Amino acid sequence: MKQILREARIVLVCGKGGVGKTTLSAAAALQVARTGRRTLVCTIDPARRLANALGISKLADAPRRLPAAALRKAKLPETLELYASMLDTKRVFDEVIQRHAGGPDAAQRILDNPFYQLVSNYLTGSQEYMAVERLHQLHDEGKYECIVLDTPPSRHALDFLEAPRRITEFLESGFLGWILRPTAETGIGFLRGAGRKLISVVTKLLGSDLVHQVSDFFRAFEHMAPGFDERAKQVRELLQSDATAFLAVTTPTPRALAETRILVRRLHESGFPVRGVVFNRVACDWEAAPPRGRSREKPTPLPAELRPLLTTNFQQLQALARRDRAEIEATLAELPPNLVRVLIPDHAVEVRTLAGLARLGRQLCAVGKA
Amino acid sequence: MALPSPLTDLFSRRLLIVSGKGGVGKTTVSIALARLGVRSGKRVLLAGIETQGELGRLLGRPELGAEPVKVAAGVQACDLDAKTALRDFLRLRLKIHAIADRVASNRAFAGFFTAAPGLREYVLLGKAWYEARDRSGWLSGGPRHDLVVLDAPASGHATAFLRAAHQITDVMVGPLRTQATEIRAFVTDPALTALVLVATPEELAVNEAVEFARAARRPLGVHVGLVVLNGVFPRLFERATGGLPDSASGPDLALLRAAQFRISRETEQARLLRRVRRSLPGPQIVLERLLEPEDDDEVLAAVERELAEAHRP
Repeated sequence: MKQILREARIVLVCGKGGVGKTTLSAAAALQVARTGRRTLVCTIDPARRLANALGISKLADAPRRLPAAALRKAKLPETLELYASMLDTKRVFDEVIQRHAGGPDAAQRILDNPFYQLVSNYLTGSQEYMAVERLHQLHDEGKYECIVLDTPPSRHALDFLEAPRRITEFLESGFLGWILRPTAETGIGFLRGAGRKLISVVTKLLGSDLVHQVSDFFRAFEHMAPGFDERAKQVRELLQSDATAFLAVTTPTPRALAETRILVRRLHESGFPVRGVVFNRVACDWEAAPPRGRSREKPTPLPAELRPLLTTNFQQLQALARRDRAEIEATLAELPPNLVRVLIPDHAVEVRTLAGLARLGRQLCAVGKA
Repeated sequence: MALPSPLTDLFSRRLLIVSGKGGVGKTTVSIALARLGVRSGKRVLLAGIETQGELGRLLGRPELGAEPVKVAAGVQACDLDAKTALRDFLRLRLKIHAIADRVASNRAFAGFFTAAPGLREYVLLGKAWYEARDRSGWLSGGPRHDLVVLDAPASGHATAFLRAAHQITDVMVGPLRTQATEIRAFVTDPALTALVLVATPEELAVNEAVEFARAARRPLGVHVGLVVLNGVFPRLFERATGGLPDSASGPDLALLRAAQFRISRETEQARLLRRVRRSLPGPQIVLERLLEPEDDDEVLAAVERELAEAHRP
């Protein structure tokens, strides 16, 4: 993992929702920044706790640098350059329009369209897609030596991969816009006929106001579609190159592990090899855990009256540890052998300070056997 | 005299929308609620929203699809997908199935529909409403099911889902609006629809539940009928935190460190439970985490048992 974080220019952290992606992304980014590289962590989650941990009052779309005071407090070098930002889907979408619409008038026409306003806020998969657009933008600017991208939370981790295809399908459905044009200027006779029939059906369904907005929208969008395609292609190439490392994050629950197996396989099939798997929140094996520092105090015997309680607790927790271990072993057997694997123990309290993130970053890089 | 259980109240509704952060156990809670619904005499439809086989797998019916099938006495189940919901929606609106199916399979329309804002969510919500509402016209009479338990998307996506009908009534005119108004009235009527929020005692899951509950109340106006706290470590050390030494030797060290871990976890949980009690509306139920290795059926049985007991945090 150490080597991955030292070399990768883009680290893509993926996995299903609720496995701790955002926190691990920040910890990984911090670890990268400690190697002396200017690093950006781009999160999707408006996690206030993470912002607090990073010493930033509120994560925003514009990257903010970790303040020196926060670094000092966590006993980290002040020269460390870590920036954090949060994806603002609507804003990225607006910027894409402004940049690529082909002139301010054309851009404004799209931005003012009521249908665009709906689309830019709520378009299915737009968060995923805009993360891709943002990555393209940031990489082009070349300001950061490493970008750690947290992927959007979703019920299914693969959504992120599917998003570009969905958006392309949506743009291709501009065909619908052509059909819906109130005055179809062009077209072969029979197509126009078919179009007319469809238009009447769709108008009946959606009402004519919406149909007008939609068709205006697609007309304005028409010549931007190739640009979208082109950038999606470039990002794809970038993500498939050696500069990018995919990390899959999972918890050791059977369901999360099952999804992770599918995710890793699908990513490989699509030409995005996963470099490492992070098993997060693994129940600690207290028998095997190395002692944490050395206590100066002389060990005192455990109070006899508490011993039954302590034993019950120990047995319960060890049972959890054994179960996690067995689940992970079974998963590892099905994953490609050359993957880097890291186990992060279940913390009693979630990470909420920069020092805690730094500790998590070190755990991420600790050499240990999975 | 026994107070009315939060579940009795819950089951007087027609539509239960179960949501929460990813990975908190929504599907398990949905299945348990459906089974309990049957036990209180309801004919239940358990409907997943694009769970991509998860619901079917947990029910031991991997082939479960969009058509409701009987999975137990009194319970039908289905896993709704947008494509089928769209087809049914078009069939309902266009009356003639052949035309509806041709529109639904038109590539341009399908592409538009897949990505268009709120439309997917709208037809899925519409489908759930259709199954839960009273039948009208010549089929008039009671609803198809007494109770529809919806295993809804994770809270981030669920807002889009709940908002779907509002979005249409807010920005659209025309035929869609009439139906959307009906759906909106249904999901915002506390006597008909309730949200069941599931969370684990973890900071992020609790945050998300609190934010979702806030959004549900305003601007959406959907009533929270029950909060389920899932996976709570059973309390062991309530009274015993005082007498522990700071260190130990030999095999006692592992015992001590395991206890220290458990105590911090329990303290953190207690803090989050207080926060849930303070910040989330509605009756609340705590489900303890199972500590023995278990399979899906055992988890389900345990959740069902604990829900039935319905103790408060």
